[in-house]
Amino acid sequence: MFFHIPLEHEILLHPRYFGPNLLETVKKKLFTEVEGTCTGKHGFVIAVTTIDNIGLGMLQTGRGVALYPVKYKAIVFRPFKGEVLDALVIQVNKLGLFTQIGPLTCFISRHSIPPEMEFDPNSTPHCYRTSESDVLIQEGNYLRVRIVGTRVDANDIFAVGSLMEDYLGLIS
Amino acid sequence: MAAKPEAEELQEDATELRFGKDFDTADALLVSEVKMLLEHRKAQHESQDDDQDLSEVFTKTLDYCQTFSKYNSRETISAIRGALQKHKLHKFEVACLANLAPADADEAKTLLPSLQGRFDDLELNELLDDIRTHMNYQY
Repeated sequence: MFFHIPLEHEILLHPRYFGPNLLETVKKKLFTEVEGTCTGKHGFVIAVTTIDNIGLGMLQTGRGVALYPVKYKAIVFRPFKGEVLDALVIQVNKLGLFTQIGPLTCFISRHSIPPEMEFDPNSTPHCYRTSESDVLIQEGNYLRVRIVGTRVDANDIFAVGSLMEDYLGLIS
Repeated sequence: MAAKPEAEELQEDATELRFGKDFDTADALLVSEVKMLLEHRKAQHESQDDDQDLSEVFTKTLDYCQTFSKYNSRETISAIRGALQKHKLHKFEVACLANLAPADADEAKTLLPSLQGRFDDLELNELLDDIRTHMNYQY
């Protein structure tokens, strides 16, 4: 789910920027330092919307650089266990499906795909389909997925999804 | 102490509306809202002709939102938010219902188990009809 939340970040500023455009530099640095990052706690930071407050800079003892605490609001994407999302299929193989939900990669194991659907390695592109071929999932399709778990790396989140429920699966 | 954050993480569950303290009261956004905000941001970025490219996370998200956005005007979005806010829904549920636009009460309750027991089918169907009406009459 996408959220709009208040966040905080500390900017370290080199003395060469201490001048008339100091605050502009702090703002610019905030954009480059936080946008596109990902933490397990707040998810993917997609875009900063407003900068609410830039605190007083504190010179760091013995280093000459200043530390500015910044309060800002940002659009973040944070997956939660149990939520249902629409996803784009990007890869199909015998292990299951890889899907993309915005910045998040979500894997759906073949054990979480309804058992009547089977992997067909002879088709191009590869797909999962029922024996009568009336339902077919391949690359580029849209799916409705329930997130069953997430794994947090240092700077990425990885999700595992399932299609084993009513109303989940292909959407037009 | 070390076990504490882990315990907190285990408790997170969207089906029971537990999101941890940072997200319990956070404003959830519709995919269409995110699309508008990001498109605005992209236009701003292009007019400034910054030498720095937008992040990969940004472009992936914009692509996703353009694919799955259901509503194409601010008026439609605020009308739908208005319709949903009349009911006692969590912010997360408001965004989910608007994003997923389930066809009937049963689908809504399956996709969002947190709705079970809190709303009767009549009220839910009415609410979903509201969403559909706004969706069909947008231009």
